[in-house]
Amino acid sequence: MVRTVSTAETEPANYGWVIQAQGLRVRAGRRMAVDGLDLSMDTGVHGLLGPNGAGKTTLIRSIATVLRPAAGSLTLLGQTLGGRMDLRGLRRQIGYLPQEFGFYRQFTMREFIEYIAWLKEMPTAEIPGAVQRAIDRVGLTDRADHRMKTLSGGMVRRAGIAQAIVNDPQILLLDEPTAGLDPDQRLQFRALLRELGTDTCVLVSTHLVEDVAAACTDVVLINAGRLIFQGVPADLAAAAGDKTGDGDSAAERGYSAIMRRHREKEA
Amino acid sequence: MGARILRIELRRSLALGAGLLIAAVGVFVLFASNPPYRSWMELAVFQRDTMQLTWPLALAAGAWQGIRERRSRVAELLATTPRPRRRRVLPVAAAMAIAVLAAYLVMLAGASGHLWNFEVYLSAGTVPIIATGALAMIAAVWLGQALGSLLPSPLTAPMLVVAGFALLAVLPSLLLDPDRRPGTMLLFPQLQGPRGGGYLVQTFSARANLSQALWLAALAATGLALFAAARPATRVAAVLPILVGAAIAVPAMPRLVDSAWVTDRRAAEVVCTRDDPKICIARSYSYALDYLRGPAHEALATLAAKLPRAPTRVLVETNDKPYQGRPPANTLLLVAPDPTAYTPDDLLWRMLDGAGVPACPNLIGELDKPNQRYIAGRTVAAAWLLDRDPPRASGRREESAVGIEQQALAALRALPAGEQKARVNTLRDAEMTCAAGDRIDMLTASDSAP
Repeated sequence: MVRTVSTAETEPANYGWVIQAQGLRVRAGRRMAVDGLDLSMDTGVHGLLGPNGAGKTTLIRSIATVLRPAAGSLTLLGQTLGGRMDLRGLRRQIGYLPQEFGFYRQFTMREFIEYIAWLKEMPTAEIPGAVQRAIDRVGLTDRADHRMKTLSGGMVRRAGIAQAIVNDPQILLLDEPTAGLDPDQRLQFRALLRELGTDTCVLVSTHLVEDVAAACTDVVLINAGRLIFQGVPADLAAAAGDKTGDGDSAAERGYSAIMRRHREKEA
Repeated sequence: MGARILRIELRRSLALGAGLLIAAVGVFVLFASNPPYRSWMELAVFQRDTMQLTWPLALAAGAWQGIRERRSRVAELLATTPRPRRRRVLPVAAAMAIAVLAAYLVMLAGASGHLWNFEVYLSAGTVPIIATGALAMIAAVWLGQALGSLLPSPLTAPMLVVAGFALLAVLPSLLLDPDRRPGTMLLFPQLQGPRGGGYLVQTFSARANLSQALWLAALAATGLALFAAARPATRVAAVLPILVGAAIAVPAMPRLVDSAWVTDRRAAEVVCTRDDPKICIARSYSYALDYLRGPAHEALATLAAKLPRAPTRVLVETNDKPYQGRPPANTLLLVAPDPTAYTPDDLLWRMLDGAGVPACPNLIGELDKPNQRYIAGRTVAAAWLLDRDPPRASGRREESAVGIEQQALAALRALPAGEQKARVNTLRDAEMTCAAGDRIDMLTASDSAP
């Protein structure tokens, strides 16, 4: 399968980071869910960890351009959100799987992903091939022409991943993509993440620390809307030190150790 | 790709189901609630009348479709896609419009099975009536889609069916005098025909139709713009077409709906069939041609076989005023305002009454005191031509006439064959000129023989 590569794709990047937040504050309802976040991310797979209410989903939604920053700056692919900027051009480069992934029940999976590809303003001629590729990559080839309403929970989640990657985005945002996947599918998903991370900035929000340890090149831990840790998975594992904290793996122990230290400091 | 998405929407959205439902309901109502239609105009107007029901259905179908994004919880995902909302909604708006347009035409095609026959009159004025109806259906779905997206509740669609029916069907019948419906009724999508059902000879004035079409186009434009609007400011602007449309259309509407129903001159023109038997009738009555063929053929053939200088064509006079003139010798004139109201046998008797010549107004007597001997003489001529006994008394032909007829017919038949023919021919000549003289004597009296 060949596809045409646009000049925008081969152009050298003229920005430092794919995603850069500086003093970012984003409101979720009345609450300031992201509250003074400084974060820089480049190509690779970034695992976004944090307790419930830490602001993970709000951060992802603001990067997905659903929410506008209340203060600070958010720069995506060299463009700072707000004011006079090419929002439409930026959105063509984003793939997004929301935490609550809605879809049209009557559409077949292929039709729905085709529809999303059209909404992402992909060139007409590329769409059928790109849709097939995305479906193949999530392992749903044999279900491509089934109606969305007939898919199981795990299949819907994978269809959600397929629609997010159909446009070969430079920024891929996956909010809890592994919810509903069985262990086998999670292993396949990790492999897919590693593959995507070679040329895409992938931000994956999850509660599963092992997923992050296994598939991510970078770990981002936030709490109360602020960054409290960023490093490679080995750093996370090392953070536990010699102490035997809560958790069944080195990464989990590292996660709980960082959270404990952070809470102690706050107190 | 837009075409591909349109195809997906046509197959997967509500479009197909809604179209089928509307067409089915419409065809059922058009078949069930009326006698066979005698012209395309009559069918087209009744189809418009059923919009009291189909229009709210289209509105509700649009609304049900319009809440899809909310119902399917895709708003979040779609909000992050670059294609603007106004482009995103086009395929599904087009799919719904195509569906109701097709439903409207399928409804028409289906109900055409309830036309009298396919010879019915198709006037030029019928086409705008149909086109305006189709436009109204499109306005309904687009308005529905806008309302559905603005009020995304599962109750929106059912409420719109009820509210639409109440507004279109119940309210006007409660508030308005049916004889004096104001022209602003044309703001409603439905259309009621002329009072007294003059569908055969009347047509809807172009100005009235145009004003209604303009208003409906404005309604459709506002519906689509509202549906496509992403921001409150755009929504406010979307109301503009409806205001402009009303400002232009309302002053152009007639004072009363009925005054917009005008005489269709072309409908009254007499046209003749090319094939045999030759029948001439007002264009708008062409539905009756098929019915008239048998009796007309038999009448002409009978006259040709029995009398010299027989007429060669049947002219049907549908005007219900008494016929004053005399037809040319080659024409058998039948006075019948509603030809299909008679049985074919009645028609045959009427055609041959007076040996195929219409009754003379100066001889038939007063309406309350008709000349029974004159009437009997004319019937005897027909009975002799058909070689049958006269039918039972009916209308102005009373029992006393039947008695006279039976005697006269027996006397006529007793004469030599050549004499019989000469007597009937004499009667016909007298009828052609409305000459005075007792018709029974002409047929039977021994002294009237030449």
